Amino acid sequence: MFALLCVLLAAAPLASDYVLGILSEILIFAIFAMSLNLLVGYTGLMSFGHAAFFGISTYTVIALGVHLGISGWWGAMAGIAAAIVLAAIIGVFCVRVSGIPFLMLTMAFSQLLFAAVLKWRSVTGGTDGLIGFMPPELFGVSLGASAAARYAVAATGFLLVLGFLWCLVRSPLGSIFIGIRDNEQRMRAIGYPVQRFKLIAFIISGGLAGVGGAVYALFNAYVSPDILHWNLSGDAMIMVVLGGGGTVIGPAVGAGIFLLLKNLISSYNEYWALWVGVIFILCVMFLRQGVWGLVAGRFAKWQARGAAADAAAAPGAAGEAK
Amino acid sequence: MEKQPVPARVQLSRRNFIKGAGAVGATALFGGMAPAVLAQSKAPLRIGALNTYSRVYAALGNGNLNGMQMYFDQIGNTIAGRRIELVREDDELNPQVGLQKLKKLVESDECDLITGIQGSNVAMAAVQYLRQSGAFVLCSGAGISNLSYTGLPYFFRCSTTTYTTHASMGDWFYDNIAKEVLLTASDFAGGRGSLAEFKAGFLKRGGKVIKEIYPPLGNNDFSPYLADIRNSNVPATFSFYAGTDAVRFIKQYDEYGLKARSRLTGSGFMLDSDTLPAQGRAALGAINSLHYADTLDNPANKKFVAEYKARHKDFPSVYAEYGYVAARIIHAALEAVDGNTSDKNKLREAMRNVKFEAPRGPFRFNPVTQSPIHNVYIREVAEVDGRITNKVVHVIKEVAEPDKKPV
Amino acid sequence: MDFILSQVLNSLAFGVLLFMMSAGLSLIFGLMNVVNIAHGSFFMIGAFTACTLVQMYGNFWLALAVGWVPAVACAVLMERVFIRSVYNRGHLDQVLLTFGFIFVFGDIAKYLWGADIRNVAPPEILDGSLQIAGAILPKYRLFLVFFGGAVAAALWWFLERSRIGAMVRAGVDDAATASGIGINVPLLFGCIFALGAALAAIGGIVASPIMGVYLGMDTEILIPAFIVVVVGGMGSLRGALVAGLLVGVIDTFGKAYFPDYALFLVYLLMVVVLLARPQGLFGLAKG
Repeated sequence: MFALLCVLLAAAPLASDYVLGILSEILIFAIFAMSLNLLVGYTGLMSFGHAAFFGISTYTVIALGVHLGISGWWGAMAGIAAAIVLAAIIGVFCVRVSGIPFLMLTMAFSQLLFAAVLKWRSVTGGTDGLIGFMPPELFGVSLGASAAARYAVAATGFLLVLGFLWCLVRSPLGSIFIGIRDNEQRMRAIGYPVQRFKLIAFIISGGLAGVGGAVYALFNAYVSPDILHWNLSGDAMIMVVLGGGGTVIGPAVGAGIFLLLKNLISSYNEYWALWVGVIFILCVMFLRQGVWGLVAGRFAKWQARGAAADAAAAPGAAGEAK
Repeated sequence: MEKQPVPARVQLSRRNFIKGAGAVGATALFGGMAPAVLAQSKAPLRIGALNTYSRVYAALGNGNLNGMQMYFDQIGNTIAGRRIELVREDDELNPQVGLQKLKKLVESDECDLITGIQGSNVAMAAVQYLRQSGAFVLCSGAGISNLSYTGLPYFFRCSTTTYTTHASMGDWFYDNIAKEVLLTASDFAGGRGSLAEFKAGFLKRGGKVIKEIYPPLGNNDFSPYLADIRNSNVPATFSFYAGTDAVRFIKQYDEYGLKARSRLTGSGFMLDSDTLPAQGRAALGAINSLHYADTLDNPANKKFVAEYKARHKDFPSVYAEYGYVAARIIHAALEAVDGNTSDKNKLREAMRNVKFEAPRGPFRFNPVTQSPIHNVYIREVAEVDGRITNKVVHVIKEVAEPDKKPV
Repeated sequence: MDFILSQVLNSLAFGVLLFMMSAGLSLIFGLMNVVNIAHGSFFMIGAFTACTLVQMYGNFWLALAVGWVPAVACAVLMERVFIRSVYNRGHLDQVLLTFGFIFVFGDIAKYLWGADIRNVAPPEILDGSLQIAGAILPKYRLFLVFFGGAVAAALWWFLERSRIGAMVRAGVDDAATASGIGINVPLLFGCIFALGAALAAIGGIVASPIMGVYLGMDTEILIPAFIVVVVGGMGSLRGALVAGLLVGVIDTFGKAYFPDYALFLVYLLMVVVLLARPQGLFGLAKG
């Protein structure tokens, strides 16, 4: 499955610049949505402030580049680090509460950061954002000039994050997160320091969002405060639900669906929000496992039926075909 | 179909002459069908209209498109034999979205030219991309003065540059309103920038700024700030707010009885057709400056307003005038290069030379900054024929911005 | 002194507005354990309806009397058809579902009323201001404070003194038992949801002469309203009133004395309260 994905991604550079641009954006937001899903789908914590980690990473990369001339690659490291630190700080406060208060607190911190960025004009450029970022070079090719190079960075980031998450959810740590999601009280009763693990999940999730933010900075060469607004956090939630929170790659599929829908619809009809809203509502009501969840589920059933058929046929049992 | 008389200098080369003769002959033969026949033999002219069609700023995008479409319809939707195709995209006044849509228009839709771009934030975000891609843009919206100094060869602006609007006002204010002022604006780049421009004109004359107040963007309640203004006892105030903030500020200024104590003045963008209907009588008497007013008494404007009213049953806004002027410039420039959009340098030369009488008055481009040189009007909000609009009280002729960015 | 007086009036006016928005939210959560983040949309629909009514009939009082009907209609439809399916699915799904509705209602409003900024003129007798002790007190804001106070009093009477109110309180305490003694809980839920929406819509109508009417007002009022609910305690009407006034005061005086930090103060309040007392000032610590 993974190999297939790698092949598909490697083949993509054959497409036009414009298509590569769309794909790159999908991959970047896929990283963002997958990172949020670690919190929402795998640990059961609903956050509406995830844009803070994505945005702070983007701002760090661009600001370091514009003000201090630091190369995008080092800037990206700094951006991811900034996201991790911010997640740790905010997380310490937020994991003390859960449910709706947790939701509101994450949103509040995210909006606080938004307001701070708006005010701190000298560093962040205020509402206008920062222009003049010089993208770095990848093996001698400037990211600014080549859409294929930008795509390569986005695809690499995506695969790394995907791989990391895939391993994480199958690891003992991942099982703890899932345990907290399923039955927090029982985990506490068994003796796990639940709050500490929630914090760990929060930090990892924030850091991964930071990866997305850094790649976005390299891709866009521009940042503005909208990247920190809770609208973006809301969009990520939509991606998670559309694709399905039950698997690691579900939100990535959701990111693709959301961005394609939004772009296609908005070119023809100014009421794209209505259509996305309706589809989203229907998903929440009837397709809770998300599009990918549905597909993966069907695939698994088909595989299981095939295996069962083989098992039935193998011992040469006459007559009882299922 | 009659074509409009071509305003730009047309090089009467032999090629053009033969073409002209041929066209006349063909018209005589086919009687009006000729333009269509000729048009089919040339690729359509794709113009990308990147505007804001969402939320409260939709009035800007829609107005711009209306003005442009009206002009193009009047010339039969054909320029130099090429049929015009307008591709419309919404930037949601969001730079990230705007960049995305711009790329789509340039790369995927392969537009020959892009126009529109109402948001200064979107325009600034696009600069880097435009430098890279070399796309040809005739911006008909954003007013931020930085756009005049990007050095982009294929970037033209036919809307306005806020520097001339506000600095001229600052200068005029000193002689005609007061020698002291209190400044207030929303705390964002556009707000602070506008006040800085006003100060450039006002301080140079020796005026004194008593205080500066910057409420946050999207503020509901201005009463704390209005109380502050009241306590300062200034003879006059100058402000800049956008959208819903503009409506609330003006209404509350009036509600708190401040108009009688401190003369209300501001940027024309705060007191124009998109906010005046909601501001209502509260705005009466406010002095402001802008490069346009729908009550302008010149032949081009009278014609423009009458045609727009007939078509849309409403008076045109400054954004509609932007679109109309943009369409006219595109027409003139493209006629001059015979519809050839692949030679960008020639098109650039042709566009630079465009000058004509627009609804706003005489229009031409500043050859260094490729931004407009036009009149700035000092206006007063008044009731004209039962409608609240702006009447012109003073004309400052043909103002050009500085060639180099003012510090 | 006159400065303080006019700021107090502004705080109260903003505070009662927030109360009207959050009272509905709080009740809905307290009784039905349902979170509706599309509550701001009812506020917006109420304001737009008022705008149309005033435009057509020129009468603000008429708008106030019936302008809340379309919003309530939407609420009833939303509750019957959609929310019923996620009652027992937990808060996450409810938030998600109602989040989708923000998009839907927003575009419907755009379609019906267009994207321009609109305005509702206050009625003639409330136009202008009074001068008391040197302070300028706009008549409309005074009206707003009294109106809000009246609504709060009416709600209190309804909950504490009427039979339906008793049923609501029973349902808040223990829905299963309430059902057991014969209270038609689903019907009650529907009524409360509608009442909450009506409160929000009326809030929108009375806010419109001050705030204006425009797309985006739904999300603009949503965050302050949620802050009030969370700070006051979900399910507590008293909490909604106290927290509403508190937020009103902090926001208004904050802007007056610390204009640079005005945005932060209200968020800080919420952060502090949530960390010290997660269930809110008057909230019940729910399991």
